[in-house]
Amino acid sequence: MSTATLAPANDHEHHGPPRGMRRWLMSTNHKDIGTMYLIFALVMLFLGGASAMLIRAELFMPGLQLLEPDLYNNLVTNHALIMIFGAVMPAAAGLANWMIPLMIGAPDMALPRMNNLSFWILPAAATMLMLSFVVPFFPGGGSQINTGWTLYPPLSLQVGMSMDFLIFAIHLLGISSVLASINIIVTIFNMRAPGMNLMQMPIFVWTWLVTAFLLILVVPVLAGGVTMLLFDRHFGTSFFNAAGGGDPVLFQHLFWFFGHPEVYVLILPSFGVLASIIPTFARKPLFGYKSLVGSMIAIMFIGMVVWAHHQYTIGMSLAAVSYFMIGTIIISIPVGLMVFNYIATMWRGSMTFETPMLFAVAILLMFSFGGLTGIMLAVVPADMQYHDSMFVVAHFHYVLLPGAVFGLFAGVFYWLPKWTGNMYDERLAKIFFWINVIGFNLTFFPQHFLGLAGMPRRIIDYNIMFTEFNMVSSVGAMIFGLSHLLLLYIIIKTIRGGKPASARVWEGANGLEWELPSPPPFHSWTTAPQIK
Amino acid sequence: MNRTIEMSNDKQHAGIQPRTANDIERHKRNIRTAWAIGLFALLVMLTSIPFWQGLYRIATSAN
Repeated sequence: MSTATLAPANDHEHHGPPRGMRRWLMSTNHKDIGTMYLIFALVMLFLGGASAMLIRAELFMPGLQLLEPDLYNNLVTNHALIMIFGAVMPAAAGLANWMIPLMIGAPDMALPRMNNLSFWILPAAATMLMLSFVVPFFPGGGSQINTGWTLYPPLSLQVGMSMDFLIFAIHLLGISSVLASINIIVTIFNMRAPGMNLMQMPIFVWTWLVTAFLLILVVPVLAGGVTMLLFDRHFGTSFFNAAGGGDPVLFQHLFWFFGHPEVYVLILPSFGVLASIIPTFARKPLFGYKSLVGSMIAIMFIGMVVWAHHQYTIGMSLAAVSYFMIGTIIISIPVGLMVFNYIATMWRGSMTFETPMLFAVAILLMFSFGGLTGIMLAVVPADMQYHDSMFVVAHFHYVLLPGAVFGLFAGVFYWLPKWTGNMYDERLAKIFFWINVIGFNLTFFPQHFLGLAGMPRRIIDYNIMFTEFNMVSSVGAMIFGLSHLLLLYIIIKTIRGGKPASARVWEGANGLEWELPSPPPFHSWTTAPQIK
Repeated sequence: MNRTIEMSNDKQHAGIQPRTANDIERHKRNIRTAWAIGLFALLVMLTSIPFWQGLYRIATSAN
């Protein structure tokens, strides 16, 4: 919480942004790059969403309706990769680019040219990702990627050239993530306003500091893993090829050493958004700042040493599975602490329910539900039954949609007036919220029952006994998917105009970013604010 | 956490500022920190134990 003692008189624009394509291609401005990240993420959200709707359309009834089995598996793979690497991570990076410099009183990111590079690698990576999807449709293109996003060998060693495109795409995405993480860490360490120590930073900035370190620690391991996969495919090595003395399970360990912390990479920035939103609309200071910081750091360290709970069924020793089970359950303590801190912030607050707050409350409820099913899955004997069932699909969508995507939506609604200078249409936004949340629950809640009844995931056909719940899920998915067109409309409408937003936008908002006008000038904080 | 923000009212300090010795020193510090983190990331990749384990296996099983 901050108190402004003087109105800002700085930030007069001596020159405006460059004009035309140059502004975007050559941009070193954190706001423009943040905007590009967010637009890119929105495009990818629609692509990933379209693939999800195709998957659910196919699963509306048993038997084969629209898709061939290989294409179905390809869509499952691409849906996950697009959503994780193309939509959620760039959207979170977009928020980071926009908000971190404004929140810490920095004139820009520490390394603006590298910031430009981090972004412009992404479209190239997305192109490679798309090519991996379409290449099999051309003569000589080989087989489709049917591995799922986990790319497990030996299947990934047998797929055609589309897998090479995918590996290259992952390399590019990894480079982009590492460069962006370096930039964020350096910005937070070196560019804070004079007088702002680490324990005075907004929690959103803290979440990104932890996330960036997490990315630095785990993305290179994935890069190493997929490079070994590439070597096995083309250069005669046998890292994962059992016939040559390799071990396919080794890849699983490498992948999940990245894959599990990746869940926290996706969730933490959204939890940082909640730490901004909830105090604003509860009109109370954030409860337990220090414990939130401690929880995040604990999540980072514990999250890195529990990866093998994704692989209970591979036949690990009893000691190993016991360790991973206990570690996984322990991680629910810091995660639960974060949730309870947010609830305590709301406790006896003068709450109002504008769209960002509606999302915040919904996130706490639905994410907690996903967390509870996570504890079920952490328990080894139970997981032996649930493994690779639709229950797992329901679980991680309850974690990742509320925990990551809805948090980003909340952040977009919260900061959109600051970015554009216009208020969004609150009535439409609330309609979007309700359709979105109802559609989400209709889609994924029945999948718990399907999984418990024995329906496996990643398979195009199913037993006729699963029909009704699948129909409900598919109808929900169509409602959920189409609701995002309304989001697009609201965003475009807000950019084009609307009621002018004040500098503070929200009555209860506190922090440096609200000291600047809405929209902030092209160059902001050219004179650093002094924090006392 | 309570903090007070003070900003200069002096309009000479507004807008784009010429680079000062402090700015140049900060820029150098930024680059140094970035290199340190980048090299650390490289170290993480190269020292992934199975990576070296695999390399050893290639070296010893080569015909």
